[in-house]
Amino acid sequence: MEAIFFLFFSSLSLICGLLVVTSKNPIHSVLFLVLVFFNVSGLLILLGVEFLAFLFLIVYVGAIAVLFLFIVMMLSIKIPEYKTIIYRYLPIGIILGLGFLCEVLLVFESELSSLIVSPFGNLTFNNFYLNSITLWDSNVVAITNIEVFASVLYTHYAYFFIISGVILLVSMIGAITLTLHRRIDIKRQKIYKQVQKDFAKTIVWTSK
Amino acid sequence: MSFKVELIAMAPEIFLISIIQYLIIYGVICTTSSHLNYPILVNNLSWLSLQVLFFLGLMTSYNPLTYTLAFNDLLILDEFSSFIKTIIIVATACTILISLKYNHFERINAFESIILLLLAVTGILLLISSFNLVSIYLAIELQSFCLYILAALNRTSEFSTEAGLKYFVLGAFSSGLLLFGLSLIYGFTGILNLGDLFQFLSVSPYNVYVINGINLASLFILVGLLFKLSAVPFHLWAPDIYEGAPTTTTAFFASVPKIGILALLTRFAYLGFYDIFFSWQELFVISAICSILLGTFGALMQLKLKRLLAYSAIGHMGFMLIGFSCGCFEGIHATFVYIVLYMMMAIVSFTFLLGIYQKKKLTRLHYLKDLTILTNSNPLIALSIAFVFFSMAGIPPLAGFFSKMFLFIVAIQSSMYTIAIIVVLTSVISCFYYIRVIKLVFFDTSYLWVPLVRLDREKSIMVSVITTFLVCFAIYPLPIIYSVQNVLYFIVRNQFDLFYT
Repeated sequence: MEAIFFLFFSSLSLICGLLVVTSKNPIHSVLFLVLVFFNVSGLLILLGVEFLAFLFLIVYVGAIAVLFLFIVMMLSIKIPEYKTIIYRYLPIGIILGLGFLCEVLLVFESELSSLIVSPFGNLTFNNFYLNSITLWDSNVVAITNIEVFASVLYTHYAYFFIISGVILLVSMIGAITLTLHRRIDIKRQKIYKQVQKDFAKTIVWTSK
Repeated sequence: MSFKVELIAMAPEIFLISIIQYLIIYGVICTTSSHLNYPILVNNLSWLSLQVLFFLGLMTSYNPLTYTLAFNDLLILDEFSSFIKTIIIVATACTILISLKYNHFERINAFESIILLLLAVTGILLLISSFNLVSIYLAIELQSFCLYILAALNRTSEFSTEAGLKYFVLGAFSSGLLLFGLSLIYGFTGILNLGDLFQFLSVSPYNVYVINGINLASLFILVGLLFKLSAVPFHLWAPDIYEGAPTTTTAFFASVPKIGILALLTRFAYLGFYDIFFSWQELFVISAICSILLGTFGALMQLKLKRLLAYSAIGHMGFMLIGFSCGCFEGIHATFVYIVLYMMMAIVSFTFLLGIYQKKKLTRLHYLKDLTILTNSNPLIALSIAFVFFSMAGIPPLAGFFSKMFLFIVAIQSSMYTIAIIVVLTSVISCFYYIRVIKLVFFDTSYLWVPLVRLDREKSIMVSVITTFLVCFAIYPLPIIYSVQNVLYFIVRNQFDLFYT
């Protein structure tokens, strides 16, 4: 059953990924992108990382893809004629891609299974070896994905968390620097001044 | 290890990140305040950031800890990293100093440019002391994001926007390749730490599948890093971005980030992947020779100074990779001596680009033929241009000759004779375009007397100090050579430490 689901999601995501690049209408390609994200989150659920799967749905589909769609619909993009260009570059792309794919496939004969290596692997003291009586039910830990993330992200890998924060700060500064026009000659409403105004005192008669 | 020690070990970076927050708050509040009449803070923040960099340099070079791992083995602090960090801080201070007047002339009023420069320096400093694949990736992203924005800073100019966009698209692609390589390594070995990777590769070189997989992964990593170094065949972005980006940014591009990436490559090639170095060697050699050839023959045709410098940077990167490809201690020693001297020459040559203005029209040096005005107007600058370009070409009594000579000696010692011959021949050809610059300055003198804007104090001090250094390097070359020797020895020693403990 799992294999069927895996094949379904992965083949669909590959096909949709191809269609993202090849479809002429940009709105169609954004919609296919959304479909790719859906399929990938299905794959992630199969892997058992449901937190990442929901993150994909919420962040990529909910925020980014919708934003893309919004921008694409706002711009009036003429659908260009790619055909001649594609046929010119297609053969060399196929040759290079196939060559590289073959090379990669030659390497990937083995499965991507991680070898757990630690130099003192056999020497580590483990509670299981010391205590003859083990309370198994206390050792069975059922924690959710998000708890696992939180328990390492804020302790051992807090550095990553902080640096990701700095990267987000950079992107924020960059967006402001590149798009915000600071102009003095614009007349803005100052709402607090307007609210503060006492209408009885606004018009003042002077003797001159 | 107690947490306090880690904080001391990484004190410079923590200081930098926290001071950047204050600078941002200061800039945002001041530039938007109507009481102060919306001041332009670029100059002010430049001097503030120079102060920050001064303290940062002190903290880096007087760190009481010399060798430690920090934050759960994610970062490493050793003599090598603190040496490279000091060089980077000094070079950044130099680029900020030479860009003071430029911002004024070109009306680059966004104070964020300085903040982004400091953030890029943070990224590079963290990159140098990264010891974990994920922290390496994060640090690279931090620095390259800042560089993308810096390239597109002058948003009214089409060239600058084009440069930023091009750099962003190509850089994102190369980061993707790098990340793919890193994830393949994790997939094949389950290791993220570079020291663990070294141990793993040194004890199990017979598992063919894993080694093949790691070779493939290291190919991806190498492509990503060579892109950032602008080595051929991943150089295509370099000339356009050098030309399009604001010249201050180009000065930063040309000098600072490359040594950071090169230090990272040293950690990869001489620590993490040292046991499979032979599979990297061919790639290094091919990339180096192609870079030298393209840097030489591409620069022959250039008419613009910035593009000329971009091609010369590609060629110099090829020379550095030659030293890298030897796979021995002397090789990286020669490479790092080369890059330190090259950074000096790059900074001086960009000082000329930034500092020479015609008084009436306020036009800068764009084309090579603009150089003809210099002999009459300012003979001292003309003389120092001659020294710097002779040094870049590698004419004997100057510093550039020695850095090239060390590389040739190392290449011959590790019996790469063909490569050495090719490199010497191309080096002779490359003399042509450097010396053409000098010929334009001294012998094609136009008889127009063009008054130039006076070079300001900071630039003239810098030009004179560095030019004197380049001239006098032959008399007393030992300080740089010894210090590079000292710090690089630690890299080699780290291998033994990791292996025997």
